[in-house]
Amino acid sequence: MGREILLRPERCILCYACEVACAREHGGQRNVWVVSADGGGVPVLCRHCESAPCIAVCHTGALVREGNGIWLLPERCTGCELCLWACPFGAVGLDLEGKRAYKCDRCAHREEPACTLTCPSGALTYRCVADFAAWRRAVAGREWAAGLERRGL
Amino acid sequence: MRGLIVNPDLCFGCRACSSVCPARLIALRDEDGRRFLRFPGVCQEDCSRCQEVCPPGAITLEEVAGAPEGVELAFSLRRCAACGHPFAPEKALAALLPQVQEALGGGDTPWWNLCPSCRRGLLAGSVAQAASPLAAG
Amino acid sequence: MPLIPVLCPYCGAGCRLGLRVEDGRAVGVEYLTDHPVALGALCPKGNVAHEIIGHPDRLQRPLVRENGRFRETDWDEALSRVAQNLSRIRQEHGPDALGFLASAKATNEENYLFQKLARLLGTNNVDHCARLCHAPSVVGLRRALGSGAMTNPIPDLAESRCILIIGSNFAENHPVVARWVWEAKDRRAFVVVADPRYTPTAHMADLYLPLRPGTDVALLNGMAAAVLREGLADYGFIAARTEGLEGLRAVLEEYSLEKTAAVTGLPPGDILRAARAYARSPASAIVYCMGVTQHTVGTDNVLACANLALLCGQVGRPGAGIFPLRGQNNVQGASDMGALAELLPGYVSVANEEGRRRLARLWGREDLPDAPGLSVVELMEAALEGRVRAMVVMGENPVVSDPASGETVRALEGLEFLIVQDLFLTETARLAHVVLPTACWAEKSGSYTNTERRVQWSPKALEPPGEARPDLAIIGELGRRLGLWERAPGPEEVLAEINRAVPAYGGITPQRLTSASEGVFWPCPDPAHPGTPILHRERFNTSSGRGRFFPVAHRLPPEAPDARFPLWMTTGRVVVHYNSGSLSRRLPELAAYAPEVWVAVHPQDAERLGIRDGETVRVRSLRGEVEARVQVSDRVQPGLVFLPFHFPGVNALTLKELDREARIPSYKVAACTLERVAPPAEEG
Repeated sequence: MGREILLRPERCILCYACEVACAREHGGQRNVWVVSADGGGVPVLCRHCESAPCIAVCHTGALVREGNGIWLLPERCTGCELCLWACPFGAVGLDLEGKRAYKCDRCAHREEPACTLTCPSGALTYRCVADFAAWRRAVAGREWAAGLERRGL
Repeated sequence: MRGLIVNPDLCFGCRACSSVCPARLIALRDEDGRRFLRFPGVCQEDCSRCQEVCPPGAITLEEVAGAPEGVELAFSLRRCAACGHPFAPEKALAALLPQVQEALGGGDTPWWNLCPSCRRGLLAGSVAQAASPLAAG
Repeated sequence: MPLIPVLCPYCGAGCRLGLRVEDGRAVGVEYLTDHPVALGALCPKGNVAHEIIGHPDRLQRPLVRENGRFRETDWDEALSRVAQNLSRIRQEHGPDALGFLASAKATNEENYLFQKLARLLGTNNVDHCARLCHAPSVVGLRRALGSGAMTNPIPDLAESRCILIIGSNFAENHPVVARWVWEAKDRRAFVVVADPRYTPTAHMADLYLPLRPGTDVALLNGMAAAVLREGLADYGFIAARTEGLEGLRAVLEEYSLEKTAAVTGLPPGDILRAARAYARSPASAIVYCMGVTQHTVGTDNVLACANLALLCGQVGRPGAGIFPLRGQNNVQGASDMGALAELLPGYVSVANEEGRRRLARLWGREDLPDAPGLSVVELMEAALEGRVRAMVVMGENPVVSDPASGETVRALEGLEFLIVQDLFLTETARLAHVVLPTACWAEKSGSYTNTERRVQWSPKALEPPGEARPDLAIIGELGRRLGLWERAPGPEEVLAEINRAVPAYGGITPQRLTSASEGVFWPCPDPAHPGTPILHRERFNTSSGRGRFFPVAHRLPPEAPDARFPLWMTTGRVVVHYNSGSLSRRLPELAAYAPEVWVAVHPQDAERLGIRDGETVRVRSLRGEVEARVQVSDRVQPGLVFLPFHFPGVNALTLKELDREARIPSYKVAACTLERVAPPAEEG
């Protein structure tokens, strides 16, 4: 089953470990941005959309969908910036010096993404959607049961 | 002479040609909310990369009589609705929007007027805007 | 490419990382998912720990200072200078003219040998930075519970149903703790965070209590009083396992919700809610750190925590305990090894004749010095007054981390002889007469004890650069030259002696430890003992076996805002830096997030003072000043400013006043003012 980088953003503690790990794994350039909001944080990275606007606008074939992800082929990238404008999440970056776009590649060169392994609080996880959904349901179930408890049921 | 002819109706001011030119003959400059792209009139180099990569196909390289002068095209840049920084040529955004909307299956794109950084903020909740694409869950 | 499982050199969480070593160089880190606390995770600092190892600034040769400049020399000259000067000064002025600062980053074996050296030379003037952080835990919790250490392992927090976090910002300072608190939250635990600042840790709270600085006793007493009034105390536990309730009850009489609210600035309803949640939950934890300890009332604050826990029977079970989060990777170990002015290895008081003599005999002597030595701040004062004339500083940077650090600089400059052992030429090392280049943690093997009392072994992964040597080898050779022992011992040999000297480490032998990747929790008195993850399950370690209530009352801090210095000032940490910054400020991967010092100012104060976000101001206290960039932030309270102390100069402002029992300075409260700095003259 395909694993993806799935977030529990409420757990983000703004420690930036994911950014530092990602930069280390990618020659100094990080593909994840931790955005601070209201005292908490959210790591933003490519969502590997099923119907991706970035692929729609790329005209050199530098962005391809394969398996459960979208992969950027740097040798085909012209650094035109169209994919940055197309991404709803701002999850694509542009290396002006290297004249290439960059985005999360789920650490294709590793067995597991560094950010999900390093995240101290467990905000970034590497699971398949079914597992992740089951976990969320379990927590929600406990909330619901507690609500029933409070009402004496 | 091999002339470099750029169609001003088609060019929408992206970075493709200026990035790939091995001889750095095409100059891109952003200033005060506008982008200027200066093209040489001729190119005697041994490649046609700019013509190959141009997304709207605005560049043609062909033999011409004489030595045509270069042109400078100007584009107004859209300013991010949240932070105000210019981030993309208006003309490029207009050209791309239909493809983006189709990929997303129609619907609103309230994030379209935000720069990538503020789009991240919108996702995270630090930038306030109309409904985020994730509002549905 | 080999992956060596070394411990992380930074904080007391004690994570492990896989160091990638190629051709004798550290080239990267890997995640070891079977570590019981971290599960492989690393905070940003751990992620680039390898960059410290081969850093170009690493000291590689001994240095001696002559005519104001350093020149490189060899070990023989350096050590013979050190030995000669220490001997001479000891001879001329007595052993107490010497001072020794041990290192909360060095191994247990190194700290043990270091304090042994000091004591064999005849002085108890050996101390270390635990004095500046958890001395109140060592003193206060020992008194109340019989042991100064964290009572349960970190993952045990997942079993808690209510977690009271007071004066701890673990989200930034012990990030891996956050996972376990979240596990508890997913099981519907109720989290209360008490902190004058709204930190990333406060963001995890179900109930946030922004108490006024210096009012922790009031809050904890107020909660305890509410517990009593509401009949929520665990009388079964109190009867079976504690003593002294009546004394506590008497003091708590006056801590009505109204009075507590008035002192702390908190809504009375919130205080009551916190008290009820803590008392009623089947398993409650108190997590605390510097916000509790770094006050002149630090010991009182710790005792107030213990009182609340004992009152509610929330100690000695899974999910129920007291969690003082120790800062350094080996501050727990350095304390256990007796690198403290009044305590010998195993927390035997220097005044305890029987214990002292037993240790003396182990060391081949009749007796050891019996007068408590000078603690960290007192050592600097003594140096200023000329009573201490020589100091050996091992892996510490007091010029940056001491309170009222301006005085520390003068104190060290005035010493007749200063020796510093370190990885880098730190701000402190620059003042030394002799600087000795040390091996870093990955370049030597040894044991470290994390905040959970978990003793772990860290193997040697690569050779040190140049002529740098492990602290153990340096101390060993120095002791030999001083005639204290025959030869420098290796780490396994010293650990074997520790097994004999420290009963709690009795069964933590080299053989056992080097094969136990999850470490061993002390107390572990013999090799067959499994170790003790949870303390106080059956009895407390006091003489009566019972936990003790020690009533404490709210007392004012030694300094408060006034007309001249109208703002509260507090200092603290951020996630990308570490303490004095001698490691983290050298790494652009980390420093880029926080390259320079700033001062967080509430918008109301900013407006009132007419200062803007990003402008530079001078922050000034009675003791000193520092320039900092303003960060307008609603994460601090009106009337309170915050500065990270990772940058030199910040501690020039902090208070040296000490807690009279634990002798810890009051880092967390001081009074200051902000002054605009004249803008640079316009050009043209």
